[in-house]
Amino acid sequence: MSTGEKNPKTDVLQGTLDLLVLKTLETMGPLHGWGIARRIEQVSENALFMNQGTLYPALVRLEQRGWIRSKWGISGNQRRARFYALTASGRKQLHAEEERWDRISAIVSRIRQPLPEEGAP
Amino acid sequence: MIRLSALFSRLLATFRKQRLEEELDDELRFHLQMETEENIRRGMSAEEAHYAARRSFGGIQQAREIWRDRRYLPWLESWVKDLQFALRSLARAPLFTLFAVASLALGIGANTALFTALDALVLRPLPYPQSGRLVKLWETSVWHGQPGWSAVSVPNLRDWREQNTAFSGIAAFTQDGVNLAGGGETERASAARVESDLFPLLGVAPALGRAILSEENIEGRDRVAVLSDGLWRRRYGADRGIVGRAIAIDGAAHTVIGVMPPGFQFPPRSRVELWVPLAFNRFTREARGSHWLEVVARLRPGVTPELAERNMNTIARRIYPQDPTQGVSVLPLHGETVRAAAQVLTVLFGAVGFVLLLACANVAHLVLARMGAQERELAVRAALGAGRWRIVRLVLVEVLLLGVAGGIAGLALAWESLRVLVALAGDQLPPGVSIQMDATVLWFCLVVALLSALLAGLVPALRSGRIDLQSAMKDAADSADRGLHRGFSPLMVCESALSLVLVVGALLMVRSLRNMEHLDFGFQPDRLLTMKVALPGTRTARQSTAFYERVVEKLCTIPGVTGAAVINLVPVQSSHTGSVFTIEGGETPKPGNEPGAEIRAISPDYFRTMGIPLISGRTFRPNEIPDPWSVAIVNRSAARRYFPDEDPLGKRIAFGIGDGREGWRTIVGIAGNVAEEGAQSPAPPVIYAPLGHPVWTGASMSLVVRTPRDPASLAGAVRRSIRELEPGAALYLVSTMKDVVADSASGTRLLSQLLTLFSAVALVLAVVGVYGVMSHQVSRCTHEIGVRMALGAERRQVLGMVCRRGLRNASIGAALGLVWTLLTSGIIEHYVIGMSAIDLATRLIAVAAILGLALAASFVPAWRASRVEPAVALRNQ
Repeated sequence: MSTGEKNPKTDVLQGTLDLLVLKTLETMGPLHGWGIARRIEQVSENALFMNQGTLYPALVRLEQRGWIRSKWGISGNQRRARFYALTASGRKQLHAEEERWDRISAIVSRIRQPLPEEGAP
Repeated sequence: MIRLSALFSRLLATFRKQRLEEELDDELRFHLQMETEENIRRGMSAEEAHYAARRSFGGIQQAREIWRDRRYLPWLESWVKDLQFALRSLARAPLFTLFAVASLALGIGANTALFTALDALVLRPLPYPQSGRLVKLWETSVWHGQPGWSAVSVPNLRDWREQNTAFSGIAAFTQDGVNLAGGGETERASAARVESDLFPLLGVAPALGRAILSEENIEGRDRVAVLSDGLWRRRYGADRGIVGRAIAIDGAAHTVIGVMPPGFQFPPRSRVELWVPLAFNRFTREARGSHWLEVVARLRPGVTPELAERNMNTIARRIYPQDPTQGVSVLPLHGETVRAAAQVLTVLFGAVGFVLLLACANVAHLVLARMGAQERELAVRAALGAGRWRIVRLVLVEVLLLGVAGGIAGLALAWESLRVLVALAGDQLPPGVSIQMDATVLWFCLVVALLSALLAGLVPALRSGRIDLQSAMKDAADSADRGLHRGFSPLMVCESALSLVLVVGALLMVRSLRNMEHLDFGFQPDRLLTMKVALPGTRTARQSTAFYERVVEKLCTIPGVTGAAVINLVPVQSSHTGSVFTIEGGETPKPGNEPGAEIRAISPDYFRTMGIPLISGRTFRPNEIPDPWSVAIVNRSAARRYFPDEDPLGKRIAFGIGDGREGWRTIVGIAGNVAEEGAQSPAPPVIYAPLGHPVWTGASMSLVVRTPRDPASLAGAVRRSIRELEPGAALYLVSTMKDVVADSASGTRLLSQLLTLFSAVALVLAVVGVYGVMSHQVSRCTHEIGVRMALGAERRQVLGMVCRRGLRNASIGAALGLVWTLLTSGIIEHYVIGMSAIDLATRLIAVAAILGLALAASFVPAWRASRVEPAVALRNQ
């Protein structure tokens, strides 16, 4: 899949999908697969390119690790859907991931912004 | 933790696949519906909305595959698939499967059975606390240029005990047979006379009562006894009140002071049921040259047998300052105890190991041959994208399945054959050892099964990884590099080599047994009955002598008895007693280096009854018995060793040395040598004295009875006659002399039976293997044969070509096998009788047998090859 030139989008980085899913579930509460995909697209204002299909293997992995759990329920439009919810260990994992993410992005931006010459150490 | 639970969840999921797949479908359908509806809401047409939804979802099938890889355990599934494939393909070839499993079962079963025996008889530690620190001590010396070891004398034991720094305890013991009387029939029991230090040294206390005290090791205070649990239950009905009561041992009242716990044995693996104090008297306490004690010791923590030996050798040099060859050997008690069993089992393990290798080679053959047939199927798989590893795996899974099946069948076989083994070994098995399968044995069986499967699968697996797609797919199945004329087959070579080694071993044992029958023991073992008689109560030598003279007289009146005699120890059965004596006029020997000989007290007719030739002089006269001091007869060994350059007749000797010396006796005869300690050992020097000598004529003596009839049929009459003379006499070890002789070769007999069995199995495996390879080769080379015959080769030539091929491989194998038997003849030497372990004739017979069988096994395929119709063979292309 290549990003179209007219509509430049960023590929979802390997590994960041986990973070996005966990974060979505934290803010939105229990949600079905489509809801998670929609939410990620909306929040990124369609700037993230994601094959929605890749969401499902990721959900399986997160569930196997015990970070989320799933339950069949009834969706808003009265359809049967599988709902995913964050677990306690998932919340812990999310915070750890966020922290790591912040640290990395801080490092990256520090490298990208050259330090002022007279900057005290 | 996370990893493990994830693995578990995936494993579980594998079994709920259908349900999970359905759920995934539901979930994906829901997703697409939601997306489509959303798109419609955004204003797309229904069709447009549907496609847009599919687009933004990406590849549904791809997502599903990735999901599956995550959800389940794909590698497990593919193994399961391989397993199912292998099961199906084995089921399609029942004969192949049956034969492969049977081969492996034979090999694995024999190894498992033998390992069970090895585990019980050799590997398991002795049942004492920290038994690894228990050692036995022997005196060593160089005697007439020959290094030798001997039992220990009392003064040496005393010095060792006082001076050593290596042991936390030392205790001496001897083994003895005693008559138990009172409370039932007179019974013969095995006893050990032990020092009081023994029980604390072993670390085992009586379950009831107390052990022997040190003051009870003095003559006069030694009338106490400790019973084994078995004896206590059998004879005294497990009566706890037995302690403090008196029982009659050899006619003397002994107070029972204790009962040992169940399972206690000392010496280990012996039948000893009774322990009495070992008591020394004035004479034995000072006789440094009289070596008669067995000594056991416990090493101090951190002291190795080697260190202890160094310590003990220092002491030996202090004891014998003039003789630097005197030393002490310190050997682990466990090793001493299991040595004989370990020797036999080593030989047998070599044999069954070979049988297993043969079985593996056969299975490898079979799998290869089958792979030839399956080559196209495998090639199709490879062409369709199966990786090399996947194809190798198919082969491996198949052999592993065969291995597991063979292992299970082998376990059952081992179970059965253990019973046979125990029955064959019979009373040679030491008491108190139960040969039973346990977890260790199961593990062994599993490991052996898997290893042999891998071994058998190695060559086929390697080859399957190299399947040449093109030539395999083409109909021309015969690859030019495997033509008839080449035909070096490593597997066939191995099979011939392995079976040759086994056949040589079996032949050596069988021929040794045959040799036994013709071996010169120095007497005529045929038609000779022997038994031991033990009189109740204490008798003086004079009383015993009178009794045994009456016995001989009475036995001679039994119809069919042509001779009867008495001796203290019969040949072959005897143990080493080694007494010292003095030669009149000889130089005074160094202490500890006095002339030594076995001493035998005999009645006058002994030599005639046994069929021992008198070389010169005469036997004893009946009137010499009342005066047993005056005369002696020496055997040829003694004559050679102590009178090398002179005629011993008329010379005078005396038993004992120094102050303990008896009166002089004149040598009146020289008798032929007798194999005192069995056929394999050289005859020691022996001095015969007339019956009646107080030391050598005891309450317990051996009888020999000669008859022209079956000696066993006389046993009843002999027993009745003796009972008439003395109702309380105990008769034991009743046996024909032929059996006594045969028993001395029991290791050889056991080996000859088992090795014959194993080599028969090996030969069957090898013949079937060779036949299989040759048939397979011939069928692969049908085209080549067709071409050759079309070009004018005659049937006879084709026949010869195939047979030669079989013979060539067998010859290379036989040559390798021969080298192997020559290199390893040492381990079997001990059991070979009357010939050399590197005997050439045996090997020639074995080679002839192997080549003959190889020829026979290749003949049928060769004949089939010679019947090939060239036209048909070529058209089949």
